[in-house]
Amino acid sequence: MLGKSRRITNFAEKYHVKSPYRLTFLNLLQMHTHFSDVKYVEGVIDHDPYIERALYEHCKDYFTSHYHAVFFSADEHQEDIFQESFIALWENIENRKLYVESGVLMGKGGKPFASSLVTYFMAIAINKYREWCRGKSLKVVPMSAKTECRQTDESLPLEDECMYDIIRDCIGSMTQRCYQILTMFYYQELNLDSILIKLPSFNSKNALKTQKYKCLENLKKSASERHHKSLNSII
Amino acid sequence: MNIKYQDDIDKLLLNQMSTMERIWFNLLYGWRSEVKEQLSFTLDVMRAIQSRQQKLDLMREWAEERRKKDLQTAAELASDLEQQIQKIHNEIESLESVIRREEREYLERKDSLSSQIRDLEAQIEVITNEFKEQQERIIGRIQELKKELNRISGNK
Repeated sequence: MLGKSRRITNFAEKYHVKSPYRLTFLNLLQMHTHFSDVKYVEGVIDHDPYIERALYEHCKDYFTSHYHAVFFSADEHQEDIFQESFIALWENIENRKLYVESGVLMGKGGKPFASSLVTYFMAIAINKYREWCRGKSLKVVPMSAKTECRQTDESLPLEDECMYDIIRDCIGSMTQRCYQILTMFYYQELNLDSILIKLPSFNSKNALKTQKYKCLENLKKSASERHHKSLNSII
Repeated sequence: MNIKYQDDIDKLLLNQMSTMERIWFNLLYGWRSEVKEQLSFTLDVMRAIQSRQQKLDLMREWAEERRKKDLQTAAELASDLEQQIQKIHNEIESLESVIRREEREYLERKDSLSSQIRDLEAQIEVITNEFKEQQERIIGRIQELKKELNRISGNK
């Protein structure tokens, strides 16, 4: 872990910020520095924490200011929609669905990216919102005519999605309880006994183990169904 | 998917198997496509959950920092507003003091003028009375002179 002043100096050197010692680390984070789309994508691919954070702030500001114009949804859903959409954007960049070649942002099929990154992000958000509405059996409300998301046809089709992408999406929509169990097991690497202490609603280790397996099985089922659907859409 | 393989698959993926156990696993299941498929699926799930959760943790941290920053901005705004309100209060107090002083001066001036007016009215009254007395004396003298004139004219 780098020291605070060293991180500031690194940042200053990398992004040509003058007089770094006059700035605190928090100031730097709060600068809301905007970068070009190419810089954002390169930074996220390189796992640059400053760029990741800057992209988050950039998308968050845009999403917050356009939320009511695009989504006819209550404020209580705003954070969930943003969270799911930003994770999808982040993973799409990490999985090279967007990449930079000779200084040009490229999208699906190796073609230059036609829209801006925030437009792409908003298109993801609209799709997530529709999925969320379908999941909640709500009426899907059309987006505002003013939104720019019409251009982003390169961004979001189901076709040629790999199984990992499908699993990733299905995890986002699995039940809270299953997500909790699988996260404790595969992310926190807790054993079943420790999970049992944290989730006292399970009366035995076997019940928990069976539930964990059922969660995996259901996830596999939804992923397979979605994969078949995507294959059929190609045919 | 088969539940009986899941424990071993999890142990393998979470690096909880000894070298011997790994060898046994490969010997027992390495050739079985259903196990390989389940292993690949579980690996994808594990990777996806780890990637998602790392991002969620970071985003929660950022959201919290944003919230703190917003609170700080709100506190700064509130402090600014408080200062502005205090400034306006001070200005009002200062204006009120000016108004009170001017009102007092006005009343003093008014009293002074009223007193001067009363003095002048008294002087006017005195002068008017003197004038009347003088007038009466002159009229009396004129009448005397007229009588004298008539008398002289009658003698002629």
